[in-house]
Amino acid sequence: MTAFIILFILIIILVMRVPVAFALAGLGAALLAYYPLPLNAIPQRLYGTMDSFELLAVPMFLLMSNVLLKGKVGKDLFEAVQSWIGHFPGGLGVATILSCGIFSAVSGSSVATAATIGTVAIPEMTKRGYPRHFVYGLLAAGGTLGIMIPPSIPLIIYGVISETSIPKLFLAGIGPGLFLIVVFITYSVLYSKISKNYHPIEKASWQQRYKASLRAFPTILVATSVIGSIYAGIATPSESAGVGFIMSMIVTFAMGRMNFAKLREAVYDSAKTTIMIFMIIAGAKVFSYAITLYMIPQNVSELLIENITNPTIFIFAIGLVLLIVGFFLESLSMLLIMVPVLFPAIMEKGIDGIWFGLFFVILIETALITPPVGMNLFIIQAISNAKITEIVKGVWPFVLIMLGTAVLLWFWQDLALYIPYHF
Amino acid sequence: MIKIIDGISEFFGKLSAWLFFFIGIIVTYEVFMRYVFDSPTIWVDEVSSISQIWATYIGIAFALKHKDMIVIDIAFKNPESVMRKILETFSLLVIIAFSMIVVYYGFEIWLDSTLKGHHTDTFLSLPKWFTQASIWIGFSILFFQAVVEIIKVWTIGIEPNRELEMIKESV
Repeated sequence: MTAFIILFILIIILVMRVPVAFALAGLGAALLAYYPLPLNAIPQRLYGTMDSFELLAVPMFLLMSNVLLKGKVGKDLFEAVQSWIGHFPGGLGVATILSCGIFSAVSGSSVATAATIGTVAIPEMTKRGYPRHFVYGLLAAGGTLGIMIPPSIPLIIYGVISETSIPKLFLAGIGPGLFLIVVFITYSVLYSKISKNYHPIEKASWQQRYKASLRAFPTILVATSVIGSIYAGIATPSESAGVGFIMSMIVTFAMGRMNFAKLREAVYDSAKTTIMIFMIIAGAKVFSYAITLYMIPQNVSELLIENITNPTIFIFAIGLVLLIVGFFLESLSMLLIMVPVLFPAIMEKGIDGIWFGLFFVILIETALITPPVGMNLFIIQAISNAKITEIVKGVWPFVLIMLGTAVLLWFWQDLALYIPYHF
Repeated sequence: MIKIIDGISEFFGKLSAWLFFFIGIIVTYEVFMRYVFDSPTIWVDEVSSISQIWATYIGIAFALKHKDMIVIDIAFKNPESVMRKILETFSLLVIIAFSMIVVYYGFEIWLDSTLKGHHTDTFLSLPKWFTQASIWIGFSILFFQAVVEIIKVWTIGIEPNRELEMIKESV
């Protein structure tokens, strides 16, 4: 009962537009005061939360992707991929998805991915007669690859709060990430076979291909060195993200795409996003400390375990809850509110923590493209000035694809777990 | 008065941003020293963690000033309505109340560590007064910024959430 009351109050204050970070922190503080417990635990939690070398990966990856974003590398990537495959049926759609996939390997954020590739791909695809709603859906969904293909900010945060290995989580993202790329590509090829209106682009000459690939090469080099250095054991995720940031700065300056003004903007933007994310994490720490005292996660865990014995129904019930929560909550809030509540039950059921991280991320991806609150829908709306209804119309097949992938992941867990446990 | 507080938040926000930049440089330096010269540093881990704490907490007021806080935007969307202004004031009051708690207890802990001369139990053994000060200083700035934001709500009006604008500008 207490759990429902707390959840109800939280929903009310969130709807009342209290920023998520302070809704969590404020409610946490109120619960501690009511318990009653000394409130000096709050500054201690705030301090302890940020005293983490693992979390450093968040600002470092944000700096890296912001620098690349300001350096306009999205265009290079898209042009390079397009020059190779753009002339095939549905080639532009395929190029869009592949560009999203490659950019996801330098960026841990789906918003950055959708924005970077979207700005280049949306005008190009609509110019070629692809139906607008399809283009919007493709970009909104393609952008979500940003948090599945390593590096991934939600996976870093999941790793920190659930104390699971971040490099293993990253490795586990590769399988489902590639799987989603393949399914998205298949869907866009089939779609273009049915759709009659688009005009394929001319085949690029070898010289054009060479030139375009050369321009995209530095970005791909940054991506492979960042991910490579984590797996080769050369650097921790935070360190390789830091190196990636410095590398992207060198690359964009060398290409003449960066100046001090742009760098300053990238630095300020990354700091704002970092602080926004970190404040939600800090607020969630205070909140989860308070609800643990009230035995909420333990009670929810007991309730679930006693009532649902079949593990398949158990995971589907959790999936359903996350899907519904995802309609309304933005991705990080979803992660930070739900993981502390659900994780004890997951462990109790003997479900793999790494697997659950990936399952959770697929549902976050779905949440990013489902109305009324779906960050990627807003991003596509912001960069294309489209109507939200048109974007939603294009997005639903992708929602089905993602939910299908979540179901598949349960029955075929090796899709995620094979790589981290065998390499 | 409003200008002074806005200015302070702006200053610390920018300082925070460059602190993150600085962390990027020293972390790269560490990797470079370790793999190229085989001589890892002893200070980078700790200095970067402490810089991260400082950067985060002195930057919150800046994030509030620039409306860079995630809000669940499903109701009361009209920025002109009185109801919205009341809710905005309520939100800022929650921030003010929380900041007061943090400043009060954070200062108490800080004072205690300062008087007793506590040090961190890490390699560099830094004085705790230095690391712990970030909390109450950061939240003091946030407290004043939130008060200023309430005044702005009822004088200038409500500015839109900046997050989407930021993305629009950057692409």
